[in-house]
Amino acid sequence: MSMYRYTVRRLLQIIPVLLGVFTLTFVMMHALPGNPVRIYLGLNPSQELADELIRQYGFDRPLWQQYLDYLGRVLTGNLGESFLLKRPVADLMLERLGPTLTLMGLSYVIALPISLLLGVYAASRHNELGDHVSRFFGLAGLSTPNFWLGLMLIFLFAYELGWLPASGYVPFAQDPVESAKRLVMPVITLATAQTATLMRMTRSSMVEELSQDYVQTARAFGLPERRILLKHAFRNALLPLVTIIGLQLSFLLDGSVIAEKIFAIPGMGRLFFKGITKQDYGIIMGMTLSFALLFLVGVLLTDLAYAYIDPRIRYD
Amino acid sequence: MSALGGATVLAGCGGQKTTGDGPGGTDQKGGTFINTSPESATTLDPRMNELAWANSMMHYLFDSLLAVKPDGSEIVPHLAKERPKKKDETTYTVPLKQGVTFHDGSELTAEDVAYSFNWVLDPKNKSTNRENLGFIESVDATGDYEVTFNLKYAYALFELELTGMNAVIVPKKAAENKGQKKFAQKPVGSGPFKLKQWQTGSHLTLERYDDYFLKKANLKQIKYRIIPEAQTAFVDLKTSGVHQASVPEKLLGEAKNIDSIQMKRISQFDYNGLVFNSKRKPFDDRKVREAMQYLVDYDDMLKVTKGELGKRSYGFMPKEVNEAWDFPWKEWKQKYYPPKDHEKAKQLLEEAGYGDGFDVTMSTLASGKFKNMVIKLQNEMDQVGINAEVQEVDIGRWLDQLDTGEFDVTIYGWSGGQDPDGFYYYLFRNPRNDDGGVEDSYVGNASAGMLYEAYPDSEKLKKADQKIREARKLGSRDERRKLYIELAETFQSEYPHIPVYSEQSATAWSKKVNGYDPTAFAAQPLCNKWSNASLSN
Repeated sequence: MSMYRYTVRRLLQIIPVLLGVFTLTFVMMHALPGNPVRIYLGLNPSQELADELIRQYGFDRPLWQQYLDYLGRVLTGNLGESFLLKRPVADLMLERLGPTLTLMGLSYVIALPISLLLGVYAASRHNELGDHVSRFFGLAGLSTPNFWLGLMLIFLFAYELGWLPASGYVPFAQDPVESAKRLVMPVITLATAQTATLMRMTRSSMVEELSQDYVQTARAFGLPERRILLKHAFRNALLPLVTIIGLQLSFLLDGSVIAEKIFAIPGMGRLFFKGITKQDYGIIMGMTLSFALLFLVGVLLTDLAYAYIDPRIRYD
Repeated sequence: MSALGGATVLAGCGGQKTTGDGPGGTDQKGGTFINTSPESATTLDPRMNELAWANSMMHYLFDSLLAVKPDGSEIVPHLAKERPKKKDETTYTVPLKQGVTFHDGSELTAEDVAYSFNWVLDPKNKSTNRENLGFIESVDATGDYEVTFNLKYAYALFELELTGMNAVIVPKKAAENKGQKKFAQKPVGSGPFKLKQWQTGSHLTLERYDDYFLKKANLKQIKYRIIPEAQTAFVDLKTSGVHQASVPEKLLGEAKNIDSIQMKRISQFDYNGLVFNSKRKPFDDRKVREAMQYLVDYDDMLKVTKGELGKRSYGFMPKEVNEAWDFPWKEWKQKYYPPKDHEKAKQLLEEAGYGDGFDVTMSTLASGKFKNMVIKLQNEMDQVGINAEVQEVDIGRWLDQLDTGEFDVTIYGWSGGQDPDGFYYYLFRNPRNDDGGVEDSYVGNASAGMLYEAYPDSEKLKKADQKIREARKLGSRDERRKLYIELAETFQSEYPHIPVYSEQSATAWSKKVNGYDPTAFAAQPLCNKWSNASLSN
């Protein structure tokens, strides 16, 4: 099968998966006790007003009808309206896309090279001091909760030292210096766990490769160690790593919810969090579908990347 | 009234100029005052806003007919030329000031005032304020600068209601032309500041309105930055990233040591407590509910929940209301809130037939202030043989439990404002007796501990419901006071609730801000009739 046909087939497969995500999310959301109207109106609301809003938003209709209506709207590209913010979900998400992508992109750009370098280094010093130190930091980075690290960074760099502003987001185009200052701490917060995960994966993958016979043979032939490491072993170790790198995207989304909240960044993570706590069906559905789509595209790109890394892989 | 915020009152901008040398250096006209808020408003249309805390932002955009002095002592005319003139028990005329303009330059007239009220009262507009203004039949423009209020019944809180965000004036023409949804995004009011930019989740920027009918503000802009985490906002305050932030209880000591800021505690006019479901065993027995009072040292419960930022409350009202109305709360304290005494608790449980204890589930929201309250009760219950399970629920489930009555013990918080009616009418009336009634499936008023559902034939409760409704219609404060004392006695003796504490918020602001003194009553503390804040270098 050609790569073109494979790509098209995989793209088509996204549709039933998205439908599954849509259906599951819809069902789970409605299975929760309470409803957005009730949460919005709080304690002791006017019964008349509550009834009216429930009618207006169609929450009193049978669930299957609500499901089909909503599905129909989504199929025409309309993600619906946020009950809470009274605005189209797509608009709300677009407004918040910039900060989230900046945060995630920068975290990834920083985490990736550092983790690969450290992972290869640790593997090349297997069971030596350098390896132990790298592993220690890897474990520490992995075990540090995002929210704790974020608060500690704020405490140190903003509160004690006064070097960086504690919170907020300034678009790069508006003021590059101010933008960078405000991104340092959230990016470190988000990148730390990423770096740790990827570093540990790189290390174990490299350790495995370095124990293979071909590496021994290469060494016997007197090939330089650097060449063995980077040209031969690393290339082979990349395959499992690419899978993890792709999947880590979804964890970045996860972490951005916390980083955006602590550092007051008006991104999609916070919107999602608000949507969930207030049971705003529009926001929950819109965000879940978008995240699912992003994840599926990430997985697809990962699969396609295999071909580049390992030409033996065939798409049939 | 809301479970989410405090009293809502309004005042106007002007007063004496405060330019000149302030304590922090040279005062400057202009500048941006940066405030913080943990959440973004969901609408900027005051007619559709349900979130009481969001009013603090909208107060700068919109004006009301009357205002409360910053110390809460008096209601004064604001957009109105003078206070309402009583024609008869249910008819009042209100003359308006001339020359007041909206942010679009149009003049504020009686037509706008009548439109604003009648729009809210029209059921088809689904205004969240409609119930609060439900005492008004209609409002007529009886002159270019005079409106007449026709009330459904004599209403004690008429003037107080006219000071709040439920009763602000919007321009008829702009509101009609824009339509409600667009107006909510780009509102037009007559307040001292107009909207400059609003990005939900990020910030709200207001800009000085130069043609404000009182003296214009010293500040050029007010910006509200949305910072969800209180600790982060506090660090921003310390590092001069913002001018004002609230101080979490754990950082109070730290805040006191920072020279560049000043701090004040502001009463929230609320109370938080525990509700026992009197419709269910074993709490259907009054003695079991009373035993809960003897079980716990509630002063201690306050310490482990709100600590320094709370005050014990009695009579289902915060201390401030008890004091302002001169209620005999010290007597109530003696009579209904005795100190911890496990022997007495056990005796009451035994008399009720529960000497061997029982099993109970207590639900709570995740927030520390509520959770610690329930855990404290659980610990004490354990010591007298009651097996209590604590269930942490999200807000949807909690509200559901209150609606359906599917709970044994749960937590409760209510912000009712400065008048006892804000507590008794909303928490203790029997909604089945409301105009139009409620559906048969309705399980009762959870906040009254399901008392009405548990004892439908109780004459005492029937009378209490009548008194609650009567008290809001009486003109005389003395008569109202008498009724509220009777009501407090009735309900306290039933122990549907145990009110534990009223909250105070600690707010801190930069010393670079001069002429600024936020109070629980001053709704536009940066710029009102009595003060006009400015920033020094």
